[in-house]
Amino acid sequence: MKDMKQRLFLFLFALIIGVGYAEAQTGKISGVVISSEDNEPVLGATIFVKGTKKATVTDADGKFSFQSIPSSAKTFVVSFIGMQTKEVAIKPDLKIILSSDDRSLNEVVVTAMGVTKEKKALGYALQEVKGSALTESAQTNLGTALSGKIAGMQVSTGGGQLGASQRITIRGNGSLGNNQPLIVVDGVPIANDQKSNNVSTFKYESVDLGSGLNDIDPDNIESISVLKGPSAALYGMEAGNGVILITTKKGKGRDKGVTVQYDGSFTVDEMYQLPKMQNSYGQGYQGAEYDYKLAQVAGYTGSYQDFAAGGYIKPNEKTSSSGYSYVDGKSGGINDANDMSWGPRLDAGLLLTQFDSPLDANGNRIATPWVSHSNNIEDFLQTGYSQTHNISITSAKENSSTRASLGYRNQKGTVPNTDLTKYTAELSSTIHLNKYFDYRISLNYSHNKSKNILSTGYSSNNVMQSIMQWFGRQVDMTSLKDNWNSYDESGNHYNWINKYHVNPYYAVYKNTNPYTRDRLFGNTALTFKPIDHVKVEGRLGYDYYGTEYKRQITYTTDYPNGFYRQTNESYHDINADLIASYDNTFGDFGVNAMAGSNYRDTRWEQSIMGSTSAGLTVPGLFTMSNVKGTPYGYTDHTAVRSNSVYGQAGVDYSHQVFLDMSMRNDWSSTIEQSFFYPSFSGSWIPTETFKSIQSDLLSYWKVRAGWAKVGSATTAYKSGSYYQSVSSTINGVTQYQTPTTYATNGLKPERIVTWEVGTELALLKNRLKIDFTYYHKNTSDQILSVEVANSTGYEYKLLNAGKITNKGIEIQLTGDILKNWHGLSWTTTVNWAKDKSKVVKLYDGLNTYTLGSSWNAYVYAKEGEAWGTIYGGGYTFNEKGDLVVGTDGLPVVTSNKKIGDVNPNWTGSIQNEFTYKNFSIGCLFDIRSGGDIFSVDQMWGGASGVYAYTAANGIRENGVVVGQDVLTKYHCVQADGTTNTVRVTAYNYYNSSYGCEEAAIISGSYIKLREAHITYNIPRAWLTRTKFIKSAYVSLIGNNLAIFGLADNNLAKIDPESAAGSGNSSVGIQSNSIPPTRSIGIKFGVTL
Amino acid sequence: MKNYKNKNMIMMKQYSKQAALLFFCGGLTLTGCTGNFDSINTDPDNPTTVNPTNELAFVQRALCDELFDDWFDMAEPSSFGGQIAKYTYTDENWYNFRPGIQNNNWNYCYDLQNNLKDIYKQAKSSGNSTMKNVATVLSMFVMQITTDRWRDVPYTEMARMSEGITHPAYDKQEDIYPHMLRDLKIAADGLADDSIGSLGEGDLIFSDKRVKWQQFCNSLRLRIAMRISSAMPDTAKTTVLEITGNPTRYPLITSNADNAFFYFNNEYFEPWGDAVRTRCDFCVSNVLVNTLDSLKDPRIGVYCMKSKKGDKYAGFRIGTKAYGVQDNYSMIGQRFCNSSTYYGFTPLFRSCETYFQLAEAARLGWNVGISAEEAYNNAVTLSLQENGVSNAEINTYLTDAAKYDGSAAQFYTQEWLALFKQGMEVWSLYRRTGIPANNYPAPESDTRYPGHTIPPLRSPYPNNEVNLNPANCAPYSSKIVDNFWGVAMVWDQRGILN
Repeated sequence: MKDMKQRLFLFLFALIIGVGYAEAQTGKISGVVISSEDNEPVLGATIFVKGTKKATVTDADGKFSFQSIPSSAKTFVVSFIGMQTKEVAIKPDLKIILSSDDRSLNEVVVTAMGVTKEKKALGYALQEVKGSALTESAQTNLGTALSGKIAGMQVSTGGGQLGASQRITIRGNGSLGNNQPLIVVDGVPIANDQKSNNVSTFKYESVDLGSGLNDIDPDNIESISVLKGPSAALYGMEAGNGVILITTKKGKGRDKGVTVQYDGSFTVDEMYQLPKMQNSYGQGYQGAEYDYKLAQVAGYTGSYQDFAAGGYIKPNEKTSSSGYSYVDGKSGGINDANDMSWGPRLDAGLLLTQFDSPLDANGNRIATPWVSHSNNIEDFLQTGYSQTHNISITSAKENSSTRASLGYRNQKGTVPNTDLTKYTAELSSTIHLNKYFDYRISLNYSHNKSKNILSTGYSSNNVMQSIMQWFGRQVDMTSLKDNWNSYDESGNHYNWINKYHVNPYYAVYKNTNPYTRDRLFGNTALTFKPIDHVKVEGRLGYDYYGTEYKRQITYTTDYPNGFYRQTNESYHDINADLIASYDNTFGDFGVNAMAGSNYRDTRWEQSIMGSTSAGLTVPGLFTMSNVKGTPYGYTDHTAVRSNSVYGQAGVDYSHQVFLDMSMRNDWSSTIEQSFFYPSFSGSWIPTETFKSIQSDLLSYWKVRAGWAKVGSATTAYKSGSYYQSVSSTINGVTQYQTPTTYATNGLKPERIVTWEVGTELALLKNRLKIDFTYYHKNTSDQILSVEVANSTGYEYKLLNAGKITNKGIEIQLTGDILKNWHGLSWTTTVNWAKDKSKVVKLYDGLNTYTLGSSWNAYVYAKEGEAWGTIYGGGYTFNEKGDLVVGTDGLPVVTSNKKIGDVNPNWTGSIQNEFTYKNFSIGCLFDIRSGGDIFSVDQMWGGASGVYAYTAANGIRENGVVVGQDVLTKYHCVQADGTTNTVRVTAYNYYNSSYGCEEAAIISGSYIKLREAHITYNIPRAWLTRTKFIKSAYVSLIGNNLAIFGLADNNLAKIDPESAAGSGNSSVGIQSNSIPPTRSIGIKFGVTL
Repeated sequence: MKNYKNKNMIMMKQYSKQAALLFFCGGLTLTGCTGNFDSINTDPDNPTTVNPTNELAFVQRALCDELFDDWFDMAEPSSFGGQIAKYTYTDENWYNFRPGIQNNNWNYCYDLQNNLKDIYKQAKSSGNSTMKNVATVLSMFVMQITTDRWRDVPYTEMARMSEGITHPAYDKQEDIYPHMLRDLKIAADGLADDSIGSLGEGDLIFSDKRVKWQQFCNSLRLRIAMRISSAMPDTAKTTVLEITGNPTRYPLITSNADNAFFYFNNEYFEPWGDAVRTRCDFCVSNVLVNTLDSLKDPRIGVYCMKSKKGDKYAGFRIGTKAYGVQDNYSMIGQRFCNSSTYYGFTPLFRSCETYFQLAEAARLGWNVGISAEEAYNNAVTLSLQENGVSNAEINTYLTDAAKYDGSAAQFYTQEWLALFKQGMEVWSLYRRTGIPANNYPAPESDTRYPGHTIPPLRSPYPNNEVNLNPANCAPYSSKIVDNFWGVAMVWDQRGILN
């Protein structure tokens, strides 16, 4: 009866797919599957009888058995995620050894919605990074660990301070709004907000509180897939900028029993790549030797000592403006409130009164030697350290597996009194309830804490701005350190100056930014398999964060009575999916389909309270009851809901040709209309179809193409017109004002139509693998806040407009250069990408959109040009191409000139990995070619005379002739075409750079040795003696070891990667970011 | 074995039914669930309707905070007009202007107009004619500042975005002045005749006292009319005589108790005090100190502090590139620039100005019911009283250094001195009359634009307007020379364009 039924079914089945079978049964066949890596049994490997529907999975001992197999069946197909699929001939008592497939062509990868697929079935580019590659050099956060690992993905960090955020872009910038990808963990989106607390009263200052992505402990990551283009379409209106899919570690089936894993690292950190400072001239104005010569020409007969101390009074002036002499640091002396270093020569035997000079009996300062302190910035910095610990316990049983981990990270910053501590906990569990049900749950918690996150940006609250840009180069940091918490004889805070700046030690100890953040995210899924090939999954995801951020100022010159603000934020996101999927094979045809629906509800709230600029009553007591005058209060909320339905269907023929399509429809509360996003992709493997073309040279060839329409929605409340409340009352009366943005009804989401073609090749017996992609992206209907003429009564108008195209190339090369050559293996991975953008159209009557600006440099999206061109004052050239200099000897400035393009020519990375016996050595170089940056550091550091080049080549002794001493690569001429010979002071030249932004344009080129490690895996033979240690390793690691290849126009050699922040508005602008940190240390791990 | 399988089959059926139902319901809920999207997408923190009194409070505060601060006033008008000097970061004083600040200044004016339009509309529809007319008075107050700064500016088409005007046309100053007088007359008549409704708690200037708004409205008409007294004498004369001919219907600000002053309290620092509170870039100019000195003016100790070094009154030379040593110069007097408390005031209209305007009208021979001399004496007395000068000193001053001599120079000098801290008014007075004669442009060695013989005639059009309203702005901006010169105000009687 049973056989009859089965035969009947098979007969019908054979009819359907047009293939006949002659059936006979063999007896019981069993075997075991073992991993080549560790010779451990593999639990959960699938053994599929080729040409039939029969399949089974291995048990905890790696064993499997079939009661009976049709005699026609000859081959088993054995597969397991993360290992190479293997076909073996059927015979009794098989021992099947699977090898790991980190770079295998048969790789199974995670795609949209968490669906795993064979990589060769994909009709689009998808690049994956294994968790191990993220952690092997113990990068402290996920964002930076991704740097240089994905072709076409740019990761730029806001600066070297602890906890800095990253700006991540995939395939360039196409949007005038957000360009950052969606982050999805285990199938559920999570927030990746770039938190920075800009208190509006602090112009230009920001405190970068990090990216949401960094709440994930890299040690808990199994793998990361990056969906770059059409492949992201299943995420509809959130997919516009690509998707980063993160798969966390689960209890792996093959790890039998209980496994305990510990990984730890300890690094020492130092700030490096500090700008090159000059040490030959100190604070003051017009005090250089050349200024002295000019004074002598004008008839001054005093000595240089007298001149330097302010003895020279210019004709027509009542008091001296030359030199330096300290009285009170508040304009009481000669230039003692001048925070520039254009003063007298150092180490020339001069005696001048200084802030730390002793007082005589009358309370007047006694002049002290005017000498250099060339290490004063380094003296302020300290050696930081980081330590990380992660312990995980994995339990794998027949019907369940669980992984729990605890992580701890502690960092002490390179700037005194800065730190960051992070605790993480993770729990994930998969339960095979019965034949029909599987259940999994995964929870991640993290707690971040810092007593002080360093302020950045152009602000006197940023200590590094103060000491690296507006500074007296003669200042002895020891004096500031010894006395920072005291007052001088006039009752001022002890400092080298008493205007604009506070003592850097005072700033870091008394003006702090404490921060705490709690994050909880996780998801749970119940999978139901009612019949073969059909699976229904209900999935619920939750994401929460709560932060508390305080701005505590005891005293600054801007806030003499202190300042206090406390900001609390919380975010809740609920994501529910119901997904049904179908997967089957009919002979040579494979079919898969999926349909689902999504509900998402996101709520965010913020409340801020504190003082106004009136400050506090008791200094340094940061409580609401201590606030002077009217307290400050503010609340803000947003709510966004969306509903979606989506589906996907794919078919393949004989694992050679694959076709796939998807669609999604989104309804969002932020936008009235609903939107439909389709995608199509296909791939073909000619080497499978025509086996004859396979050779030693060509092992594998795949071609692929994909097309999709994706979107990018907007934020809450854009369509309404609301009065704005003003944070403070006036004489007790609430103030309301009309909105400054004119709202437009009927907004649509941004529309991105993208296609790509690509090919994958494996050459030379799989030794060399090439993945090449060409893509095209067309972003239109951008949601723009366009500037309008203010005489309309508004500043901005919201509308859909604009069209930007991006096209580019991505190449990945993987070469096994040496494969076990006398025990040595060498693998090189190269990523290379180039993106070219063009603003095709903005909006009628508007051909320029300002993306960002700093001082008088503007980063524009301008019609006909690339996304992000920099405009500002620039050099003037005559028709011969000579640089024109005015009669004053300074370059003639042409305003509103195109002076740069923020887009790199290309980006790339080279990763090398060597293994020899138990050693492995790896290093990663991250490379960027071009891409201009407007450097506020270079503008002001030059103008203030602190940088080395402002005192190089004798220009402070002899003056500057433009074209001879500076700008030597140009022929510099006067208006009449004669070569310029006008001599000016170094101060006049460098100070004029304010107004000529081109002088502060630096190329973003760099080569960074981003990561390196030397790992020693303890030999198994030694470990087996311990009986409980399964494996162990120890590594020497280094991060951000070196920077090379900086451009000539990067005069102070600052790190071009650190931007002013992580938003669109910061691209191409560098302003007082903290120099990078170099970390060197050890990492070690043990598996029990 | 068999039983077990059957059981599973039954289970499976149940589950599949439930799953199908769940999936179906799920799909149904989703597609039918956009109904409450409107309420979800309503901002819970910001209102769609407000009481106009709260907008009035905003306008009054912002007007003083934004148009009488260091950027809008001290760095340019008060300095170009000769009273204030920047002695550190001196850029604006030698005409190295910041384009962003020009944008902001323009934006402040029109943002205020947009709010005032909204108040006007709301008041009109609710029948609150008091509020409506007060909105007009404030709108014209701002418009006068706007046109006196940039000359030809959008007026009739300003702040009408909701009517689809995305590129407002420009009006010539020649047309703006009579138009302002027309609009103000409507407000003056409205306030006199049919004033219904209250201004509420948001009237921080006059505490909802209608007569004071009438006084402010008519004094403003007087100021505007007298400014064009030689450019458009007929319009000016008609207006002035209409006001002075009917004091009951058109009352004026005639006592210091009625001054249009905005007093700051403990939420906001008064903007001049705030400007020097954190980093003091400003002090009094040598023009002011020298003028006060030469007249032995008792206000010198109120307007100026003695220098720390030398303990004397010393003004800084306006437009010098090199920074001054703070201790050598006189800081601004505490009454006008108190950096240690919140309390301070912004003068919008002073009673003494009413008398200066009347005196000037009388000098022209118009019958304004008071002689030029009497009006002059009243004006000077009111100004000295406002500054706390004793009656004895006032007597001495008026019988000695400031004794009425009928000369234009004396007359305008006194007006210029009295309008301290009203940067736009002192700059306008100087541009119209050339008084004080000892005012000067930035020194030739320091100026960004060499070759000019007088301080700026106007402010540069902001980039915002040049770039975003190009068709309307270009005909006017094209005639300007070096951003500040080349086109004079219609009422500038000096006839010098450079």
